Amino acid sequence: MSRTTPPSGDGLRILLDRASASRLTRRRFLGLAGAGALLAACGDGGNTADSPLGSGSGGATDIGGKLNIYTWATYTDPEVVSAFSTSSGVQVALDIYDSNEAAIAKLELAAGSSGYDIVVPTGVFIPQMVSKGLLQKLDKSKLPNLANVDPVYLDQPWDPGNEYSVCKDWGTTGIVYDRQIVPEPVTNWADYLRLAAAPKVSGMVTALAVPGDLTGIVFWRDDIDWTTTDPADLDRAEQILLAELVPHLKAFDSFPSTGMLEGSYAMSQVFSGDARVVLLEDPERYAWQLGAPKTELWMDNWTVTADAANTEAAYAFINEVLSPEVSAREVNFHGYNTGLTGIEDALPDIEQGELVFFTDEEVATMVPGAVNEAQDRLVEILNNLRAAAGG
Amino acid sequence: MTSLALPAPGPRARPRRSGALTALPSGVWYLAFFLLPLAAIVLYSFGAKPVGPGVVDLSAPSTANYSAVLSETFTSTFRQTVQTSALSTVLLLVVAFPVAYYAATRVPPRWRPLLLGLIIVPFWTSFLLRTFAWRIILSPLGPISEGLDGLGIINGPLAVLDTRAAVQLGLLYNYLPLMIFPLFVALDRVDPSLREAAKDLGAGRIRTFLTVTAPPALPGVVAGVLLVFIPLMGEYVTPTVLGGAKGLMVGNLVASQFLEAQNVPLGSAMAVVLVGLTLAVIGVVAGVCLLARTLVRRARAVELVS
Repeated sequence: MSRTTPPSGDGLRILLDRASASRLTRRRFLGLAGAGALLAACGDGGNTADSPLGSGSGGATDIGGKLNIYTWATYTDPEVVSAFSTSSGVQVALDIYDSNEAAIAKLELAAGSSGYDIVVPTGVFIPQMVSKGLLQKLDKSKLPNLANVDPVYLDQPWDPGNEYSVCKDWGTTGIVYDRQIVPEPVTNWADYLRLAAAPKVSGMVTALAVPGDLTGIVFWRDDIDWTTTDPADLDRAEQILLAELVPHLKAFDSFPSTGMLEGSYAMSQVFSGDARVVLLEDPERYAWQLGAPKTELWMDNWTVTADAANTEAAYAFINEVLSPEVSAREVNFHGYNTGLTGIEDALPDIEQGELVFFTDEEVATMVPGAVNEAQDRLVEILNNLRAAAGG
Repeated sequence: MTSLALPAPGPRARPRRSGALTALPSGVWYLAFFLLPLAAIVLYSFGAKPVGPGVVDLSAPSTANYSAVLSETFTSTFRQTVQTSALSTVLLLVVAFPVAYYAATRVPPRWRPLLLGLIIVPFWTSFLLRTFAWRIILSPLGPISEGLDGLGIINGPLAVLDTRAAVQLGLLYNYLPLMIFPLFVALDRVDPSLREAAKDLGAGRIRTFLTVTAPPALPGVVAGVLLVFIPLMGEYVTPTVLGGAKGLMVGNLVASQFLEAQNVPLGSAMAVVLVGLTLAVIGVVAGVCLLARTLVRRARAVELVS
């Protein structure tokens, strides 16, 4: 969890070839074929035998069938997927959503025939999904690699005992900006809102299309509990965003890295891993600032849908990504801490590591969210802001 | 728009029963996949978002959703949608007519299939992919942006993406064949000898066009306008991909109510208002056109004195 207190005695260490590490940007990473050339895993024990990665042998047996994963964009290494397909004979399809609300709505409207086997919701949404009967209880006998997860990330308040979910990874929210356009360093949420009005920046600002994160900008800035249900707080946040953000907004974009790199955006509210994609591309031109004084801490989780058609494949896949080697590849790809014991020490040379592994001081400013009675109002605010921005 | 396909009226025949039978499959299809869902949407629009599980709570029907839809928050988007759709339709007509006219009257018949083929071939690629391609073309760091900047035509990077203009451009591109084809079919049906006769009788080019070529093309214009305007009003993909926060259309509002807010009743009310608005616009335009036609006919009427 922290860079200042590395756990010791881990059984895993991933060595990155330094020469290739420096050019390991997302796009190039996707383009590189030889997986083995990038990552060499060497360990003194541990669970190396669990991973069929690269060799295509061992690990999962021939399961077959299809596996439909409903997840966020650029959130699973395609090579991890193809290695799993090769070893298990399972045809994997990924479908993408950009907010928990959207994913839950789709699952709910499908009423038991969504066709998805695995969904990756943020933790705070899990109780709601459980009460709507969208998830099934995990059969942990099929997830031996659960033992690899750091206990810090188990037994979370939204799912005590991990009955329905396992940590996929966690991250936070901040600001990424183009130094060539934004006239001064952005140091906190107040700067984000203030500089949105700056010449050249105005009209090139984006915010996440995620209800809670949007009002969060105001609550984190003003150090108000961002899980507030007080209607006055919510009204005030809506008014501030309408007045200070909406006139300068270019898009509501949950994954602004692409738009930033194509030159469409100057300053974006962004998830940490997506910001890392931008900085990997050009660390001189673009800068990242963790949301301050406060920001969020979210954790996304592997879950199996209640109507999953291929539960065996679903468990095999989740178990595979919980193996240390696959997990390290995943961190390299999506830039989020997967919460496995020793994962940080396994990746000492990871590029832009400060966007992946945060210090204790940084973590102390991150506050977990909540899904509470304010949720409908938050979604309404997002939709009102959308309409206002377009009108 | 059906007038295009209508055969010349022949001797009156009584409708035969086989005719009704052949219409059965399409009738059932229409009922099951168009009318019933539409009825459900209308019904849902009077419901409320359920507190517990479920899609809609119909225990206390009300028009609250319609009040919400007609509130200031959303009406601006409706206005923008009508503006964007109407402007697109006019632009499409302006762009498509010369193409259709050229293809139908100037290109030798044996080359026409090739020309029409060239128009349609790009549309074999996915609608979504073609729309995304515009993001690359219009990118501020893309070749067009750099080229225009280099030539001094624009100052700084191209700032078209994520604006209403980008949406307009995308719509124009995506709907062009839908406008060209009905116009082509209508113009193609005008006998070339009529134009020759007009010329022989001393009519100039413009007069020939206005009095001989254009009037028979009017059904094609009507068909094309309806064919593009109706789907334009419900557009969702193009503004999503190219519009950013500024290019929003009602389709996006409906989608976010269904998919994000999980507020099916409010989304339904928006959809119903959209349908009503579309019909109203078409009704008004049709009324104005009919009135204009009546006036023109009256003005041009030749009195026959017996």
